This record gives sequence, C-alpha cells and structure tokens, in this order.
Amino acid sequence: MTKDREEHQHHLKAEGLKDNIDNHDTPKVLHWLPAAFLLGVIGVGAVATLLTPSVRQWPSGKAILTGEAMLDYEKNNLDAKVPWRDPSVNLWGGLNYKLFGEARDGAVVGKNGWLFTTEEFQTSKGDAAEIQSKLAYIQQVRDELKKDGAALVVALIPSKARIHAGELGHVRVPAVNAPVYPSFRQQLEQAGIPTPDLAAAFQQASKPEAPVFLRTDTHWTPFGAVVAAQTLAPAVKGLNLDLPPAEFSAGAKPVVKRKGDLLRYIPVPDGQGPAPDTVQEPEYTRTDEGGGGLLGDETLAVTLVGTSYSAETKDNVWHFSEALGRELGTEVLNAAQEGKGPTLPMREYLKSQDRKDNPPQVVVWEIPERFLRVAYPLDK
Amino acid sequence: MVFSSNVFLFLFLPLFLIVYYLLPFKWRSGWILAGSYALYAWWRVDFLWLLIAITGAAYVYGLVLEKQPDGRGRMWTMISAMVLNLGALAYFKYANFGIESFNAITQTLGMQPFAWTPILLPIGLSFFIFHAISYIIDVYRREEPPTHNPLDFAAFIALFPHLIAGPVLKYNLLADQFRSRTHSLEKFSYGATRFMTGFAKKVLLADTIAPLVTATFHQPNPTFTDAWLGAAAYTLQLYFDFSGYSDMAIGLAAMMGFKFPENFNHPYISRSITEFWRRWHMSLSGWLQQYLYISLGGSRKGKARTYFNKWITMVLGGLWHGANWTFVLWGLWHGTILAIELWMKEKLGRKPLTAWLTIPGTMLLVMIGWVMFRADHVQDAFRMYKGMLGLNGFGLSDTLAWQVKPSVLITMVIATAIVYLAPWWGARMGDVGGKLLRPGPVVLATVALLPLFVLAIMKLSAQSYTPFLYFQF
Repeated sequence: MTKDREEHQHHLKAEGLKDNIDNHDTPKVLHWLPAAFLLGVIGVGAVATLLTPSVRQWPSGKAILTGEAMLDYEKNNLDAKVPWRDPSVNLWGGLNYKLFGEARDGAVVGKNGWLFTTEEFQTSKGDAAEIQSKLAYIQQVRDELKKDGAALVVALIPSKARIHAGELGHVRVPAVNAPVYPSFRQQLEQAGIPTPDLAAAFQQASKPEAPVFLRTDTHWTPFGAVVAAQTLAPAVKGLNLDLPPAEFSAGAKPVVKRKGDLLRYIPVPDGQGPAPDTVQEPEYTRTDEGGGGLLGDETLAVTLVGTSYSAETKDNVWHFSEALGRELGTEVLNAAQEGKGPTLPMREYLKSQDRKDNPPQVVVWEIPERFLRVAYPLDK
Repeated sequence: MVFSSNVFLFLFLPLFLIVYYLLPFKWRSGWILAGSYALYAWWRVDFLWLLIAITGAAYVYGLVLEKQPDGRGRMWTMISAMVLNLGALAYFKYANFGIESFNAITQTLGMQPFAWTPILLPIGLSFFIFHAISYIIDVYRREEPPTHNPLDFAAFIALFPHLIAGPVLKYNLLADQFRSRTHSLEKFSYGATRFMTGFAKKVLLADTIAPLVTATFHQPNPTFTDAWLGAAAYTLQLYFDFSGYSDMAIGLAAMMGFKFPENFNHPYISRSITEFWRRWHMSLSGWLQQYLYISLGGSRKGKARTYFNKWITMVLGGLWHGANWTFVLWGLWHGTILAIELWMKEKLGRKPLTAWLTIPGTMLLVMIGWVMFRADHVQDAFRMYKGMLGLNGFGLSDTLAWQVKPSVLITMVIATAIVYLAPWWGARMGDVGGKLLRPGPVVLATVALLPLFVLAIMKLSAQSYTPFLYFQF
C-alpha cells in the first residue's frame, strides 16, 4: 500500500468511514443477493405503479410552484392507488387482529365480537370548550326556529360504549367522558330545550338478545331506533302541537347478515374476524289515505335533522325517521344528512327551501353524544 | 420527498439508478445534481432558488478566499460569508421564533404585539447551510483547496441522500469521491443492505411506536406510568427513525459509489453523556466540534473558557435542531452535563464505575433530555416531568390505557432488544460493511432482512390507509 493510500485510509477511518465496503472476503451471496432483491422489488413495484392509470394522470388546477400538485398527486393518484395497497391493508390488519386482537386505528375490539369506534374514547383538553360551543349553537337554533313558531326537541344519542359497557372487555372509556351525556342533557333541559333521556331508556330496554346498538356498527339497531322514537314521542306530543295525522303499519324483511361499518377496521377474510350482525330490517307502510290537504299535498309538521342515524341512505336499516313518524302518528320530513356531523345539516336546513315550503311546528334534532367534542371544519 | 415513500421507491429511485448507471462517469455529477434538485423541488419548486443561491455563494466565496492573502481582508470575507449563511438560517428558521418570543415579552408588558406573517421553513435548510459553512471554513483555514468544479460542488451540496436529513458532511470528505469512485456489485449490495435495514427500522419499528408517543405526550396530567412509557417510547422512536434514515442515506450513497461516514454507533450503550455524543448523530457532533467549539477557542483558552465553550456549543447545537425554547433547554441540559462530566474527570480523576450503573444512568439523563426535545412547548415537557416524578399518580391513565396496544408494547420490547443486542452482534459476528467474523449468521441475518423489507413496504402502504367512514362526521 502506498503512503498516500495509507493516509487516505487513515483519513477515512478518522472520519468514521467504513473502508471495507468492497469486502471480497464476504460470502459471495452477499455480493449480489441484496442488490438483486432490492432492484427486483423496486423494479416490479415501478412497473406495477406505472401500469396504474391514475399514476399517469397529473392533478389539474393545483399549483406546482408551491408543491400543492405534487402533494395531491402523491396522496390521491399514487399512494391511494398502488396495486399492493389493499393487500397491504389486509395483511397488516389481519396480522394485528390475529396476533394481538387489535383493530386498525379507528376501532376498539371489545368482547364477544363487539366493536366500538375510537371516537367514543377520545379526549382532549379542548373538549369542554367545544361542547360549550355546541350548547350555545343549539340554543341559537332554538331561537331561530322560535321566530317561525317552531319548537326544538333534541334527540341526544348516547354513545354505544356507554350503553354496552359490559361488552368492552378490558378496555375502559375514560372517566372524564362519563358525565358528558347527563351534564349536556341537563344543560339543554335547563335552557328549556326538551331532551328526553335516551341513555336511561336504552339501558332499560337493551337485552343481550335485543341490543340497541349493532355489534359491528356504530349505529343503532332497528330496535334501538324504535326505543328512541318511543322515548321522544311523549316529549313532542307534550308540546301540544296540531300534527297532521298519519297511520303506519310496521312489517319486517327477512333476517339477513349485515357487515357493520366497524368491520372495515378489521380487514380479514370472512369468517376470520367478528361475525357480522344479524338484522331484520323493518318496513313501515302508510295505512291511512294520507294527503289530507286541499290539493292533495299535506303539510309536514315535524322535521327531523341529524346524521347517518337518521339519514335515508343505502346503509340505513334502522329507519329511525319512519319509526318516529309511526310513534307520533304523523309524517316526518327527513332533512338528516350522512357524513356531515350534526351541525352542518342543521345550518343547511335553516337556509333550505324545505323549511320555507314546510314551516315545521317542531324540529327533532338528532345529535350523537360522540360528536359533541368534535369540531368539524364544516362547523365553523 | 422522503425515502420511505412510494414516490421515492417506485418512481424516483428506479429512474435515477437506471439513468445513473447508463451514463458515463463524467455525466454522473450532472445527473446527481438534476435528480437531487428534482427531489427537492418535489416539496416546493419555489424554494429551489435558496438551495441554488447558497450553493453559488459558497462556491464563489471559496474562489475568493483562495485568492486573498491571509489577513484582515480575508477574515472579513469569511465573516461576510458566515453572516450571509447564518442570516439565511436565522431568517428562515428563527425569525418566527424570535418575533413570537419578542411579542410574548411585550405583551406581558401590556404593549401591542408586532404584526408578522410567519415564514415557511425550507426543508433541509439547516443541513445545506452547514455543508456550505463547513466548506467555506475549510477553505479559509487552508485545510482544503477550494473546488474549481461548480458542478461537483453543487452536486455535493444537493446530493439527495444527505440533502434533507443529513448526515452533515464536509466537502473534503466527498471531493475525491466526486473526482473518482468505484462502482461495484459488492458496493451496491452493501448499499442495498443498509438501505433496506434503515427502511425496516424506520417503518417497522419507529412508525409503529409513533402513535403511542403522540398519545402519551398529549396526556393532560400524565401519571408516572404514562410519562415513563412515553419517554421510553420516544427514546426508541427517535433512535430508530433517525438512525434508520441515516442507514438509508449511507445505503443510497453506496449505491452511487459514495462512502458516507457513520452517523450512529450504538448510542444507548454509552456510559456517559460525553460518550453519548461520540455515538449519537456523530456527523453533527463532529461538525459542532470542528466549526463551532474550535472556532470559539476550544480548550485553548483556559479551563473556565473550555467549560463555557463546551456548554455554549451544546446550547447552540440544541437551537440548531429547531426554533423552540425546548431545543435550547435540551442543549442546555446536555451542555451542563458535559461540563460537569469534564469537571468530574479533572477533579476526581477516572473512576470507572460498572456498566450496570453507568449505562442506565446515562440512559436516564438522555431520556430526561428527550422529553424536553419531543415536547411541543416547555410547559408540556414540565407536565411530563411532573408525571415522571409521580406527582399525578402512578397507574396508567384511562385516557391513555385504551391507546396502549399490545403490538406497540411488543415492538418496543423488540426495539429495546435490538438496541442492546446489536453491539454484541457486531462484536461477535462482524458486519457486512467492515470485518466479517462469522459469515454464516450474517448471511442468515441478511436473508431475513429481505422479507422484512417487503413487509415494511406493505406497512408503509397500509399505515396511510384511512377508510372513508360516512359516520365520522
């Protein structure tokens, strides 16, 4: 070795450099296998990526200069669409469930195949302030409706974990969440807004063979929706309104298996995760002649505003709106919307043509307890 | 663009490597520069000018300093270069922090706050400014001749493996390699091994532990268990995240024929904070030693000054990590301990204590420091310290308990085992990049790494998955 070479080696050593990368003494397999494997993986991945149509599309209307377009492309066109995305989700989700009994972030696994949303466990230091702002807004809505002579009744839906706490297993809901329901309800009542105690009604009505919430879903069972309607009806009727009469009969579709929305957090093949719920979807049919108005169009005195617990969607098998109509003996205008939280549907309803065309006598506002602490961007 | 992303792994890297190996050597610096600028611009195109400006200024300063005779004029040239670089760093990285701190003081005095539009921090700024400074100081000290090849120099500053998160490199370390370096299958394989190791460390270990860290540090009143669990989790997360990133950088560089210095050397087996800083983020501590500590006078100006220089170097090193009082206090913590250790060494002489005491003792000091390092605000760190002292009770908080997953705890156990078994493994088996003592187990370990890399890629895809659930709103 020359002096220069020695100096160079010494210099590299002093800098903490490994001077033996080209180590011919290493077993031959280490000379080629890692390189071949890495190149194989990124090569196959690159081809699969480039064969994905969305990867070859660039987002329009996004600024390149500020990186907005790249961020959007990476998130929506690439990461969400690579061919191994779903297998990856299933593999890791399956491993976590099978090895540790865990769901993906978003759900908590309880006992006997019961699943709960993590939203019912979350807490933050801003919760109290957010809950107070919700309370203030509900009172504003009450005042706004009063201008048209309409009353407000709140259907405060207790969290599933509150009602089915026995199915939580070793997991516990933070104690700080315990007073949220009774306290919020009490404050609404003190503000003169009727808020029937659905938590007490649910706790009384729920049985192992007839739960009020679906086991694998965030929503209530058809039975739970009926219990809620039966609990709310006296409060609405107690307002002494003149509700246009309507009669309904209740039938039921055949019993089916139904995968709840929380099963998405356990991406395992059928039969390997919690069993789906068994649901008998009710069918409500108007049995009177209806349409009692002069021109055959009756007014709707009751409007229901709320979330996916009430909204008419393809996933709705609980039919709370119809159950409420049946209990009240009147048609209910359903202005609930899914995926927007409780506040935005109300904001939209207050400005809507529905409200102008059908000035309500009473608005039933369905608000799930777990949304009280959540400040959605749309709320502001 | 980070290394642990689909866009890097499956679009950027294959394209970069294919073209790199198709080009003749003389074109490769140009391709490295183009690729590195593209990687930087993927974040934002409009900040590329800053990287180019810093590079251009450092190159010109190098040429000017070469021609100037020694004396005051030359010193002022160097000072102006420092003012320019540190001014850019101060403006982009610390202006918001300075104004916020100033406003906090004026508001307590009942005055109106200073109106200010927050400045965006360009990614990698701290690193490429440090690269430029090291080059200028080396030329000024006549330790290295300046480069006359602007392309190689620009490629060095922008070299994508170390552009965003280090390691902090000196130009003289890579100058020769830009002129001439070897490319071989062995070297590429070594690079691939290091890259896959780093990728697995980051995605499988650090990213798995990350949610628990976030949850613990967000506890309003952390208990003894909460706080220590959080501190331990962050200690592991930070090490596997950062050392994993450094492994990936070293590996990528090796794939291009470059040899990067090691950045970590089993820091959590250190027996003192002094030793810790010889093992943790070695490229940064080396940089601080060479360009800050020595510039301040090092140990050449008396004992008191030596203590002060050590201390202030760590405080400024802390501040370099981010514009927040938490980093200043973290630097202060380490600087103070370093000074105390130096004093103890001088006054009490070497008193070798058993590793069973010194390793946990050092870890304790490091973990206390990491709490300040991780906290969003100083008061958050003190909330954690309160918990660590058991002032909020001892059991696991119910606000945290539901977030503590067995998979994360097991990952922490595995990570801890790796931390303490890796040095033993290295000593007994050797390593691929250096001396190989027992090839068999090393081959097995390398073969075991391959499926882990695929699992890590799949985890990367899986963890960004958030199913749309209509009921969430």
